[in-house]
Amino acid sequence: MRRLFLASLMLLGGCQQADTFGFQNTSITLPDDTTTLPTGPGVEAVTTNCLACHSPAMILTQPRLTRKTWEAEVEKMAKVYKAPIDAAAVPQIVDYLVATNERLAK
Amino acid sequence: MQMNRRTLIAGAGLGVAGGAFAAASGLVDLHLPGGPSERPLAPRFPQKGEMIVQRIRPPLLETPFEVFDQGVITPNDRHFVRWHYSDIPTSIDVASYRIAIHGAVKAPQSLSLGEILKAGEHIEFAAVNQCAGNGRGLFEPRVAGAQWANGAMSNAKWRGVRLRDVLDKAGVGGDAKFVRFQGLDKPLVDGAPHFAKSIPIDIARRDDTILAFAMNGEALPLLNGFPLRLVVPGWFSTYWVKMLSDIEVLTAEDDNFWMAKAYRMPTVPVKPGDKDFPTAPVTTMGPRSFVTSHVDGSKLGNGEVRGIAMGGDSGVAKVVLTATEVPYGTVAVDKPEVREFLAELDKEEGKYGFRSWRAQVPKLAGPFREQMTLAVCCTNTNRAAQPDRQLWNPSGYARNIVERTLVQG
Repeated sequence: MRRLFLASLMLLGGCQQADTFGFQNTSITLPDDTTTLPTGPGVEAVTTNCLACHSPAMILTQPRLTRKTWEAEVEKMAKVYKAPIDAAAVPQIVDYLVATNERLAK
Repeated sequence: MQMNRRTLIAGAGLGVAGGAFAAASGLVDLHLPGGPSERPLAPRFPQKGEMIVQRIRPPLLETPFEVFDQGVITPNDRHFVRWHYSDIPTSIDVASYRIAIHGAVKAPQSLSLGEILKAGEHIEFAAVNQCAGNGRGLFEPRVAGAQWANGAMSNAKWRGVRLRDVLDKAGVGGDAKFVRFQGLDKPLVDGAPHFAKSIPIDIARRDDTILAFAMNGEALPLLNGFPLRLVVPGWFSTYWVKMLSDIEVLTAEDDNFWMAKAYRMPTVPVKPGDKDFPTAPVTTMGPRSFVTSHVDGSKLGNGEVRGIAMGGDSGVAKVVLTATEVPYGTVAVDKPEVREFLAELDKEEGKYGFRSWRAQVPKLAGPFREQMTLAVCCTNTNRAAQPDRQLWNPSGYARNIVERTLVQG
């Protein structure tokens, strides 16, 4: 019914009617991310500390980055974005990121 | 063999448009130098059609490049999507939705959507919404971040009410310098900087800075900012705050993280590893243009080449297509044949929108006529032209190099 109303508004093309632009309550369901990180030393540390906030793709799509850059990324996540990363896990996390990245990017 | 030639032609810092096409595997190859280059076209997202899924959470959805050959207006369900944080409201109740206006104003407001709609005249125009990091994945040397090819841009007809009419309901103080915007998206972790962007008061009061409630005649898809987003024509989409909920008038420059630390460009030439250089916020867009009828490896066919162009912060003045014959492998040629064509521009749908163009390219006559690069360069009405070499920056912002497509004669 509402949709019909909207469609008829558009047919009229009436700017004069635009203040009745038919906003409708909207709900969506976002897809779950079922992807996982490739196995390797440190994968549990990365899964636990990084994937609460973002998909594995954020790691797996990166170009070849240096260890220094990966260290800076992990530090940025903790310091700027307040990711609750276990400090003791940071070396493991960085090792995993560097090794995985070397396999995926030239 | 072909890859070798491509690499040879691409050279350091030269742009190859990198025509992407969907393979039967459901993956698309974005031809990002050094990779990883393949991205899935799944899963599907609500209110969206087939998109290149750069990241599921928070969503980064790139518009497949072939969409740009199908018309200058990007359909709403193919309009690119970019969110910073994964706490995005997935349900919007329009009756209770409110937009706060506060800060340096005479009378702070909490406005319903109906009150926003009644705040002033409704205007509509086409404008390109482009991520500051569009094309980041094509920068060389590569940089960290969302690895977009050139599809983090889309064009829509935006309809909305002028921001200044909405601001005037609150009465802006004489000492106002900037206006800051926030949406309903939130970080998952307490203490992380809420996404917020600011524009100078004179930009906020522009005749065409609007709070848009419609895209191409329909409500915005939720992932594109339903029910309301800021549209600042000619400025990168980082300022086009989605699901807008908070407008704050500031009397000084904004020192929030997203203005003071992020989305900034060096103001001097820099190279990888440089530190402590001066920076300024990314603001306006430059001219760009693309071949859409051909991708790398296409046959020239009947010679009709089509594409799109945008002026960035002004209209499109002209588009020049250059065809250059490409020597094979190791054979060197002093002067390959080069021919220039002034493209014919289709009618303007809006100064800040995409403009389609076409050119008729004959077969070349030189000894290496079987392969040519098509390079396309837009000059905007501010007389800014696309550069031949991309100025590198550590965040991969504002790519607008002359793009090249390698075609078979």
